[in-house]
Amino acid sequence: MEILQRGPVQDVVVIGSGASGAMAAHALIGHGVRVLMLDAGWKFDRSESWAHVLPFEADRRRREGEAPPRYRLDDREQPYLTPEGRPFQLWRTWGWGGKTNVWGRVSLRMSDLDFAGPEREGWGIPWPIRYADIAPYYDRVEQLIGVTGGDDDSDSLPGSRHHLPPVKPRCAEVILSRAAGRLGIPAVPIRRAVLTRPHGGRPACHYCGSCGSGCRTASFFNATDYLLMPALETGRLEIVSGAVAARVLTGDDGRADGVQYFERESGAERVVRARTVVVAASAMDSTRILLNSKSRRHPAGLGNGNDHLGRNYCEQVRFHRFGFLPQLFGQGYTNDDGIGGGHVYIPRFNHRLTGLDYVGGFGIQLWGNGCQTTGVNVAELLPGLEFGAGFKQRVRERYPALAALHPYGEILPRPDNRVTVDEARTDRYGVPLMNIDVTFGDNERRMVRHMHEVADEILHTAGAEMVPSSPDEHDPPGAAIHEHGTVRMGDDATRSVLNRFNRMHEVDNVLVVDGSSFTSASEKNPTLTILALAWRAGDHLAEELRSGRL
Amino acid sequence: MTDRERVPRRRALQVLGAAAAAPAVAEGARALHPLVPPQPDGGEWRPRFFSADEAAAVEALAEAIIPETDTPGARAAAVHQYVDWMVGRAAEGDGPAALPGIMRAGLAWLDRRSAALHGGRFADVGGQRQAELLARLAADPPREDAAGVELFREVRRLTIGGYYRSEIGMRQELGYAGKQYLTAFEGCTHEHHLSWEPDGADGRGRESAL
Repeated sequence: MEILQRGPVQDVVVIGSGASGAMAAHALIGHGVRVLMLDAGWKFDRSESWAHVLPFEADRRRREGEAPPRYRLDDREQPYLTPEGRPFQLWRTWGWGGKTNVWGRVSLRMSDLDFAGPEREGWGIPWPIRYADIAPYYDRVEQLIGVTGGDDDSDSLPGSRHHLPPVKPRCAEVILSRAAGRLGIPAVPIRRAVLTRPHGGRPACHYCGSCGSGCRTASFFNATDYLLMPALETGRLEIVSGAVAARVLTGDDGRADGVQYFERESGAERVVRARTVVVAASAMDSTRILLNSKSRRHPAGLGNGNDHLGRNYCEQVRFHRFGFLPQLFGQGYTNDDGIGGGHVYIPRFNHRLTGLDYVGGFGIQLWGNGCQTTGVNVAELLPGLEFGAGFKQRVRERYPALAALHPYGEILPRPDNRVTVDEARTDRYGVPLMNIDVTFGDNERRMVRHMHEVADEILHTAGAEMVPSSPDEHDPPGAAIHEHGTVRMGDDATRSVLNRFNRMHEVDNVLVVDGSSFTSASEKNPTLTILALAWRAGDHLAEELRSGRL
Repeated sequence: MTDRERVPRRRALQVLGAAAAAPAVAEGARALHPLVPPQPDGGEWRPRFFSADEAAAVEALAEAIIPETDTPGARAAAVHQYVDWMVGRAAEGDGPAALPGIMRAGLAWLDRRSAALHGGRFADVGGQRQAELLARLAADPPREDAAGVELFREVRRLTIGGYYRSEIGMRQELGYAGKQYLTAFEGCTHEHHLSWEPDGADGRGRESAL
């Protein structure tokens, strides 16, 4: 196949346009650096979002051949492998802005409980940074994207002076918060990247609660509107759409000198030459690209001389615990849409307890309370095979009374939880597929038990009618969409892949800035930290380029 | 009001205008459950998967599961048409592969059972006898009733999905009025919730097991 080289040598090529890639590019462009960005998809048109389309209208449109924007990559187009009996749920968006088009928007600062957790509790490797290193970037990110939140500040969830006004809780959230408070478990206003007042020239949220379908008014942070479009206006950013990155290319000296990609529509192979490469394709795809970037100098994949690339996967285990609050029976429909998702959050508190039989923390999210969903959920949650007028009445009575708790617990990094590439199984471009092999361990099983006990206790205290569940049940790996650890950072170059500025120990002109760089997962939703780290890495790279060290 | 505050509202109105210009909803049963495609010749609804007898049984089953009360039930929401459409899709490879077989075998079992117990097809034996039969399936039926239990489980699942996603189920039955453009979100304003204390009659919550 003819390989076309695209244009002159670029100063910086960024692979991926989601939260991390767009933020790194934003930082670089702010310093006057020119950036060429590769994205595997195209720009989404947010005016085509189905956020305001009701289910019965959506059904009609689908039948008539319409479809909402395709925010989720079809696994059949780009498969990934899992071992028999060990499922993994991978959620990928190919297209400008990546998953930020439809993300959950929970924006939590990690704390020194998180950054110092591994050495304090004796697992994994130490993070190379502390809260003080990243706090200035949390400040800058929050001011740029707009994050609603309260004025709470604790050892597990550091406060911020930059929050937009908090959003008021719904009925069920009020009752659950008061029940948790009685147990000594504080609930705080949710921190979410949603504009509760106009911010940065963008309109405030209009409370349709349908953020998961994409926002028509960009009233929550998405990387396209907030980062890419302003960057394009400077003239220093160029985006190549439909470019599926395959490998980072290296020269005889082992340093990166370009990126190989395939045009998604034609399948044609292309090469773009680069002085530096920023990998930001989301955790799993970045890992795949690096593992496939084999050369004489990097036989096990780029920067993998110590066999840590692809290993030490970590994330969060979660489950969903439901009940019905008698206080709300028969209240009738209340518009609980709000800013979508929960309006309160229960931060990590288990570090204040003694006698636990596991390490790591968990927090509890509260999405889907009250009338946020359709009656389908309520009807399906009622146990047994009820039917008839009584059943219909019970669904109606309980519809406003649904209580939902979603605990997220930290999965510790383990070397055997890993991503590899399978040379014998290739994608439509002939590039090896990734194999994701993740299981939860004993620590996670013990933590899940405690998470269930706590969730049950909160519901009991609230007086809830409990929906039956098992104390061991949880979602499969990957379900939280918070993948980390496979390209982790650390000060010890023998046990990590990146240094404290997301730069490869072994290849000084390659940075990896997405969630794969996390040393450990914590119990928190990661995007705010990904944005802060990517901004910090972009500043670092710009300084290295300016000073001539790179 | 500043200019900046005025912009979003204007944008919101524009978007609303665009939504209102969407194609008008079709008439009749299609409008009640728009998932159901129109007949090619524009005539009355005919099932695409079920026989006429089977469709009548599914219609009776769905109505027995979610009947008309002070609001319309599954029949008015054309749930049987939705079920036919979903099972037909599954039969064409777009849905659970086992579903068509479960339906066909289950509906045959249902009419046999109904004939043995009550001397007629399920659709014809009346609401009281239909409910009695379903109550047996919902309880702990003997193994020879397995086909009926599987049928009931699937029809019930599809009836829930079809009814509570339909305009009748959402708007008339549950009063749904969400996914709007609002200028503010008030949250809970009920004093009896805001001042609620977890010291209920059963005394739970005084001691933590944590």
